[in-house]
Amino acid sequence: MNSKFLYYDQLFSPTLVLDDKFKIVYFNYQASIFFKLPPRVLKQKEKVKELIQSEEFSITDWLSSFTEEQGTLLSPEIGLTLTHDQNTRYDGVLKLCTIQVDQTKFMALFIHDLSIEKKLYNKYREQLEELKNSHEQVMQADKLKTIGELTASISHEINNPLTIAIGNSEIIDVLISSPLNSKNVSIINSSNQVISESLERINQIIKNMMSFLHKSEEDKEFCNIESVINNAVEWISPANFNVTIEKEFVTKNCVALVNKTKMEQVFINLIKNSIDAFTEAKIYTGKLKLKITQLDLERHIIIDIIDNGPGIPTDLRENIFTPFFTTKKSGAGTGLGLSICSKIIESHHGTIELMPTTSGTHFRIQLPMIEGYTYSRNNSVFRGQASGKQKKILVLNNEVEILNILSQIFKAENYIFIGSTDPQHALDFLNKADLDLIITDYSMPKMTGDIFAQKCREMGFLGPIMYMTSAKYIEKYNQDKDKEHLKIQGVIVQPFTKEEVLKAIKTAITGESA
Amino acid sequence: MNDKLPKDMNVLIIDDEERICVLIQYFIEEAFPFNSVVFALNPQMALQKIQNQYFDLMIVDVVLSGKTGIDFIKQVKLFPKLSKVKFLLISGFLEQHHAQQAIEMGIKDILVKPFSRVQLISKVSSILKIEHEEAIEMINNAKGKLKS
Repeated sequence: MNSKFLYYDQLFSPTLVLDDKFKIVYFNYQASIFFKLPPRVLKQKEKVKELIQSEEFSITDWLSSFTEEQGTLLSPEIGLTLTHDQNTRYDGVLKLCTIQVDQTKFMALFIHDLSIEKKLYNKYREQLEELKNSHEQVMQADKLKTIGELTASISHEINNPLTIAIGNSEIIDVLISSPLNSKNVSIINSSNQVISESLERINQIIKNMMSFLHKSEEDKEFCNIESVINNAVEWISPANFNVTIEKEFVTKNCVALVNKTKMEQVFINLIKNSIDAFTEAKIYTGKLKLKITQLDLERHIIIDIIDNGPGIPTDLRENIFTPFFTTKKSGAGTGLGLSICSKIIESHHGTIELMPTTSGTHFRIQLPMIEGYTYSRNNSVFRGQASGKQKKILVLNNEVEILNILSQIFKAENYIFIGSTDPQHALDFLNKADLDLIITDYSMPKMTGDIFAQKCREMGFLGPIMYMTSAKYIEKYNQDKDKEHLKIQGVIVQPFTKEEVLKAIKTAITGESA
Repeated sequence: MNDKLPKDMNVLIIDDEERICVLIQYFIEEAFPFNSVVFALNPQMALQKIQNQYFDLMIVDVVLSGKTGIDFIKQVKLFPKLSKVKFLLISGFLEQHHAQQAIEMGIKDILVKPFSRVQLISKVSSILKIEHEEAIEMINNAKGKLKS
């Protein structure tokens, strides 16, 4: 064996040296351990392919592609098996470098065995999945608990229309065998109508229950926080006999990126806790206020849930978000409600806190107006390679439906979508992330698209900006596209198809002329 | 209490669902020759009606917004003039503590929703001790089933 390569014996990586015909001229000590062959047997193997193979990768093809290359070649991460021992699979990477010794070209092949790291990584992923599943189960259990606690009121809700339907059907029974005068006919007709409406009511109640139980946990979408609160209040109303609920929406049209069902769950939990507290204290005239505010300078939506009930004793206040902490009698409450609420709010990058009060209870929830947390520069290091390749696109549009549609389209194409309904917040966001493209609605109530684009440019944004507009304003695009201080790179005209949007975006990002 | 004839009796229905009140009113008016059958949608309205009229029977939903039907009945029983009033409870979902409270107050007549017309008529019949042929038929059918 060529003694010139003896220094490779010091390496931990199994190493082979090949000549330009891919014949093995040297191997180190670690190689004989890795290949599980004594040196004298290993000596007899001439070609690499006699030693190792991979299902997903041809080693000989890879080696052949190297003849013209200089420097170092790294293979993708592959699964390797030894030719003489197919049972053990290694996960690794092959590295090849050219070396020149005495005018002769050789290639050093290093094997990086990543099997242990791979196993650990898989174990980690498995445990993460398990944790996620447990979490899902806990969430589902909480939902079931909510429905279970409301069984009485749900039954009551269903039994009323059922009684009406049955009763009216009996009326029709009686009248059909009576003389058919116009009065009877009109009663029969109205009874029939009432029966249909009652059955539809029952249908709706059951549908609501089913969708609450089965709605997917994963989806976040842009929605109006007012509608989430309204739904939660309506949902809990059958169980509410003693509390007057007042809604004060100081700021209208607060839009946030949330999972509707989960947020409803949070509000239902909080409202129900309040109702239960009043019931236990035998107060039948309780007041609960739900208030939404959003201060102009703040980047958060603030939701206050305030009641004039018995309040939470000061010595218990710091524990309320702890899982399994409850003051209800055994069986009545699991103590998971508030801890789940706080997890949900956390997953939305918001906060929930119990405000200090001398009487009553006051919870305050804050949700970010624009969900850009995940994409901000500071966090990108944790995303690793992913954020480097994916394009980040900011879309500014005051219509929630459009944001949701685009969000879906982008997800399928692996673009990172950041949506906002508020121009000022979008501008604040410019500093936080490297955006690859900005798409702005032209006609927005607070600021028109051209002013917004101008401000973006003033803030130093050099990337492409596009308008989104209905055919009515396409003139504006034509006027603005050549303006130096705006540099509008393209326009998406509503109504748009998925293909049109994607094509326009691709053109704008790659910099080709529109 | 058979001194009073049906034609002199008054019935009050209290349920927060108007369609149910109308339904019960329709069935009772059609089955019995009562003087008047009226309804109220909440305890306050009911109390107002009680000021103006004496009711021999009150049909009360156990669950009403603001108070339970049982609390309302407790209130009524406080008036000495109304000590002879009979009660029929109706309920969408009978919870243990409701049933217990009812028994403690001596109310033994409860109708659970959904109920049929005949069930309603039988209950009214038996509470006010008024004969009604359909009620009798239902009892006979029940007895018949027992015998066989």
